[in-house]
Amino acid sequence: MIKTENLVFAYEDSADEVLSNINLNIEKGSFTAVLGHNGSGKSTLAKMFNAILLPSGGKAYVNGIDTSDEKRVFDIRRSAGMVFQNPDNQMVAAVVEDEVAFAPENLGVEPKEIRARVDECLKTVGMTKYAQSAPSKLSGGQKQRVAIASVLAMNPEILILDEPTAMLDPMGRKEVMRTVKRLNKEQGITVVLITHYMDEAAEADRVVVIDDGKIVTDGTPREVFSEVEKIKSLGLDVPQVTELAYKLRALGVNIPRDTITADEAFDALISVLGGEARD
Amino acid sequence: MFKDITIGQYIPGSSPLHKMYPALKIILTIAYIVVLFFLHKPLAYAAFFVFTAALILMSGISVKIILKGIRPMLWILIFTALINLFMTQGETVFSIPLWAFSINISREGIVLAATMTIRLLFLIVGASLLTLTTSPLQLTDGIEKLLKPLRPLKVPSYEIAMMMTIAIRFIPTLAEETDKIIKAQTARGADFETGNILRRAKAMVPILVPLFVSAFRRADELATAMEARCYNGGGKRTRMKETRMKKLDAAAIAVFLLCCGVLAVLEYAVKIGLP
Ligand SMILES: Nc1ncnc2c1ncn2[C@@H]1O[C@H](COP(=O)(O)OP(=O)(O)O)[C@@H](O)[C@H]1O
Ligand SMILES: [Mg+2]
Repeated sequence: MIKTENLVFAYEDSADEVLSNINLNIEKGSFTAVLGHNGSGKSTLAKMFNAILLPSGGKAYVNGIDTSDEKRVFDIRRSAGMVFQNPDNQMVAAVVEDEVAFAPENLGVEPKEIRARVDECLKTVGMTKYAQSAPSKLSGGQKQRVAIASVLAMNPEILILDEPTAMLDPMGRKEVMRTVKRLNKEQGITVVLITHYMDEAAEADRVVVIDDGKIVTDGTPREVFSEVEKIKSLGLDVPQVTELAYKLRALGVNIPRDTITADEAFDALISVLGGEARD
Repeated sequence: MFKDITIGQYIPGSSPLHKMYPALKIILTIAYIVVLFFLHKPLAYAAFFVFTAALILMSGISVKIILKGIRPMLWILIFTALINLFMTQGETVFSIPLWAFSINISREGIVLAATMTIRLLFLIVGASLLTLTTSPLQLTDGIEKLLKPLRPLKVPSYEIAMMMTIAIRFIPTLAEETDKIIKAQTARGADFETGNILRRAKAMVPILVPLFVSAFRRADELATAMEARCYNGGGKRTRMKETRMKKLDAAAIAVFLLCCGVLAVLEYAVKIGLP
């Protein structure tokens, strides 16, 4: 779905490479989380995936299209929809349904078809009730769901989210994560989620960690997070549950090092305690 | 304190005035004002008053709200009336002695002051009726439609409409932010309430600087988000809500022309008929 070959990128006004030699292949229908500390190049990488930025060297392909192909830039942006961090700074319209209509309007879709897509997308993210509301009256989580709907209205195959939950409260984060996961599972949309919440990354199929513009670790959440020291040396955390398992292991408790969900931790602890507390 | 700002003064409703095609409503409002400046006869003004009253009644908007719209213009009204009253030369009706001079009030002055005041009053009422019955988004749509024919002359009608929509969208966001900054600065001991104008203007700097910095950042991010959703300025954009002229709009034009006819008769023909 997304493929990069020796991708290199430097912002025009600086000589430093923000991304160096990135080789990445993201499968159709997968859910990939991208981790990395601030300034590691995550947002820059995301912008490579829908031709907002073009490679300085190497290639990026989206849906088989070379992103440097100027004539197909709208095909690329249509198929790889992007949601940004700040919900307030990505909305153009004063009414929710107009916001969702914005992208298909830009694509020159027929008015009737736009109407159908808007209704459908608002339903998908559970915001039908707010179709006529002003975005400024919504909560952060609701705003981000509208932002997701406004991208879905292009019928994209890929959804790229650049720290969509960074400015939300725990409730809003849950709403957004639930929506994204559902889109991935039920509609088969390929998801690339940039985040700095490890428990969100733990829900992905694959975790890619970048540091200083290079991919340093790539694997399933289980594989990646089991290397607790490595993750910590990159200035990142592991999910709380993994952290707990790690500390318990250090104390000599026999709990698997690749514990990433609360249920797993529960089961492991139960079996350590000899099943006594099971009932 | 800024949170309660509403743009324009739109009052939702379902009257024929609310339902009219926005571009037509703008044109008719302008025509209403133009017609106003052709009238001189008291009889014509009386008819104009009746027509305006009928419009207000039809709009379902209370007279109180309309009168409220006049209040901020009160000083302009008084100023215009006084200027016309004192500055018009003509047949002196009476004079006010003032030290060595005297100010002459002419008959023409009185007539002109009265006419101008009445015209301005109607003008304000007409413009209020437009903004009270048309939402900012509909106004934007109307302006876009009106500018569209000028597109060959390189008037960027879509872009202007887009700018207006974004401005409307960001007013609450920026108002909220201003509120926050003011509170933050007040908490640090800034004082916006006392001192002369210069001091107060200076006190505004710590509000405006962060506000502008953030507005530019927002603009930058918004541009990226628009680009990411395939915005490219115009031409082949379609609209989900295509506004169209309806029967109601044809009727509105007919009624307007009819009223113009009545006014023309009262203004010109009746004069001929009377001695
Ligand atoms: N528009 C820009 N111009 C120049 N340098 C930039 C620009 N945007 C980001 N950078 C630099 O690129 C690097 C990576 O930034 P970014 O991709 O935003 O990282 P992340 O999203 O991981 O925090 C940072 O060092 C940052 O300073
Ligand atoms: Mg970033």
